[in-house]
Amino acid sequence: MSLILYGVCERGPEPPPGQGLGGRPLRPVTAGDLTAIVSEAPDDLAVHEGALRIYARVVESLEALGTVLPARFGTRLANDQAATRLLVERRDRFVAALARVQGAAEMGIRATAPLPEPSAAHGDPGRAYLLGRLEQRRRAEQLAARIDQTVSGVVRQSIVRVMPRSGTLLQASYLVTRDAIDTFAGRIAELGEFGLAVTGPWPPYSFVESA
Amino acid sequence: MSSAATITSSRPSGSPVDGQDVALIDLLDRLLQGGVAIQGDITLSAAGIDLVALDLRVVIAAIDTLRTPCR
Repeated sequence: MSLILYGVCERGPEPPPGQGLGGRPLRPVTAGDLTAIVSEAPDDLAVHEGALRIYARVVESLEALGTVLPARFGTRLANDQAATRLLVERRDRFVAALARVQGAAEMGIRATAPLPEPSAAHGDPGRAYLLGRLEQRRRAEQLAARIDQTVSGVVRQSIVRVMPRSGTLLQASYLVTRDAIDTFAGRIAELGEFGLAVTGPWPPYSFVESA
Repeated sequence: MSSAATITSSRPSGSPVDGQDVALIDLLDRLLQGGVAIQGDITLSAAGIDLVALDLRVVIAAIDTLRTPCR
């Protein structure tokens, strides 16, 4: 039998609410001042969209318990002892990460790349492609700078990726104090950029990698 | 590239999972590349294929083929 890990939080008096994947009940495993929220693993942890959405909702619901470090989807632990070991071995990192994200949520901005324009490069498709890519990169970097300038006062941390994959001009995550989220969203809206997907508030998935 | 991404330009409000048309890519990026990770302990499978360490684009393609009829 193995466990699914949903997140790590400070030890608290409240039991975790509800169920996890496959309808398995959530339960805490506590060691020291930290608690891992786990459930028994369902028989088949398939990566389909429904499972991802259920998982995301569960992690979100854990935030009712306080600050949570979300676990990557599919993280398994062999048993309770393994969960305890994790909490003990990484205690200092978890505590530092909890302090770093306390009171904040993650906001996301994604800009999609526009459709390529018809080639104007005198029939040389290779050159047109490269020029197109350079132009896209230039626009992505410009957009990143504009966004950075407008939100720099209201974000704790940012992770910005220019052209991370084909079709995406810019992908960025921001760690924003909760009471600054409206200000953040307002400033992004004021940029007047089309084609920006602003998402959030998320639990801070992108800001716990060092935990 | 699959059409899994949905483009919205809206102010965020409430749950990003239920309250908005959250694109699969936004979910995948966070849930599969973010979060506390334990090296070597994550085993994901789709149609019997290990998805660990695969390019995210491959994961998106794999998920598209598994997409359940009702969301």
